[in-house]
Amino acid sequence: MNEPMPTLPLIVERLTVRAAQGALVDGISFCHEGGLVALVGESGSGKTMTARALLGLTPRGCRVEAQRLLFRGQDLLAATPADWRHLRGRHIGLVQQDPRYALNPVKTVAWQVEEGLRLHHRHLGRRERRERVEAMLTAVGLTPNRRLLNAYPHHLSGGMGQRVMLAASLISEPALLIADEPTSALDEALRRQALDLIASLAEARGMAVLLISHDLPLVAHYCRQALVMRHGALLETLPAGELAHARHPYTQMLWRCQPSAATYGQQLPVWEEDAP
Amino acid sequence: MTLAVSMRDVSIRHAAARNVTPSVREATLAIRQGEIFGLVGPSGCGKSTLLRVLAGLNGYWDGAIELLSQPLSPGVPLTGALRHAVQMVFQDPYASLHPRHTIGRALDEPLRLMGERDTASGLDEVMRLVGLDPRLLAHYPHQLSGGQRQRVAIARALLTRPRLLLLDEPTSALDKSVQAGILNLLNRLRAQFGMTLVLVSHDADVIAHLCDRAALMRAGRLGPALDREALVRALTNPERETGNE
Repeated sequence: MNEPMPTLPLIVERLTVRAAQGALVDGISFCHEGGLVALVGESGSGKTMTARALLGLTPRGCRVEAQRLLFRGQDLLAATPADWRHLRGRHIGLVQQDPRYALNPVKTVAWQVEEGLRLHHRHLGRRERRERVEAMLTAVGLTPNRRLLNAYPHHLSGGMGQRVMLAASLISEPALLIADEPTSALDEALRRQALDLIASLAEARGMAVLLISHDLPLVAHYCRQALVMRHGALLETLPAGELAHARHPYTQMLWRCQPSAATYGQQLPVWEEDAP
Repeated sequence: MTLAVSMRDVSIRHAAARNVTPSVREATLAIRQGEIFGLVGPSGCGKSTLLRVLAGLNGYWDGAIELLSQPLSPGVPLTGALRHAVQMVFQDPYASLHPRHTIGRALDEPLRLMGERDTASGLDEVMRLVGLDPRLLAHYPHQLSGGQRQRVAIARALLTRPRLLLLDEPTSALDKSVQAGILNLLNRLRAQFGMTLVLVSHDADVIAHLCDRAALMRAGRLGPALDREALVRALTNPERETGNE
């Protein structure tokens, strides 16, 4: 087997996150070679905890172990709190599920989008920062007029909040974007829009994206590779386009449990141990 | 055919703002008994507002509404048999269950209100009906998974033996695989009890999977009721308009 290039966006080998009650993430290994890669699985499968380990944000009392954990060749296991502050937000961005909770309710849109520049690009002057904020908001499909810049999160619709959040994490031009269920708080129609946006920005900027999702059709449409997690372990890794023909019965169930007009009047498949 | 819900020219305002434009305008709708009827539309189109009126939770409406052949009056909560016969399940089961009451206590209350003295057997029965282990009765909501909590919320609604079950986005807070189990449960309950289900959702796939008929809603306007063929056509149309902005 070829040794993966150590400068890949992400190399994870036997990553384990241990808490008092046991391993939440259990020895998972994967290489992120750029583009959109998805981490799929049900709630509680450990996908969010994996993302948190990659951001150095595991909750108190959790221990992160791994044989190797490399971000563009940098050893994350040896990162000090100061290293993390430099990485997080600057080189590794995060978009969370619900803009209503992820945005600061008492700060304006302009302030929040600009924050990454104030923290990580200190050489920039005020005017230059404002120009970048406006360019970024335009890039995510918003109109950076005074009304938007001075708006507070509660003034925004769900889709707009999502875009503002995306703008805030992309402004410092991270090499890796972790998107944790970025669309599940959105309407069906807005979902596609938001992912189209993430995919096109990733391509334009050469940014790697780790998309965390339980929506398999969406993953199959946008991602290159899918990592299926269950009970903290990696069940299988496959090209996202082949999710519809996955070999593992659990992945098959995840795929086929999607309701549609074609399943009208039928029982949807459920995983045996969850079934009543 | 008897109607479970009949509405004529119903306009709805929000309780706090009686002078502003109604959030639902002149909605006319007939839902047959025993069918699964869907209300589908983007967020903010007024579909949940409409459902809350049917549940008797918002009295600021005018027009004519009959539920199970009983007329309602604006500003008057549901009365008499309707209070048992109409039940509602909300989107977020964690918010609709008391965090410091065990599941057993939460489910015991409606049974006692129904005048049952010995509730233990009834509780076990309803838990099995929704596919839960009766041992979970001793647990608190935070000890359950999202899917289990939504099953508890459905069980609570079933205790009063409703004929009309109103469901506001019952699966949108759940994983797809857990959603599948809840959708199967709803289909089974309809087949078993012949209940009428009114389902509000923004998820076209859920509506297309579950509903016998549906109506589209947009910006406070309710479209005509669509039969199966028309609803599949309307929902799978790729030119579905995109949301707000």
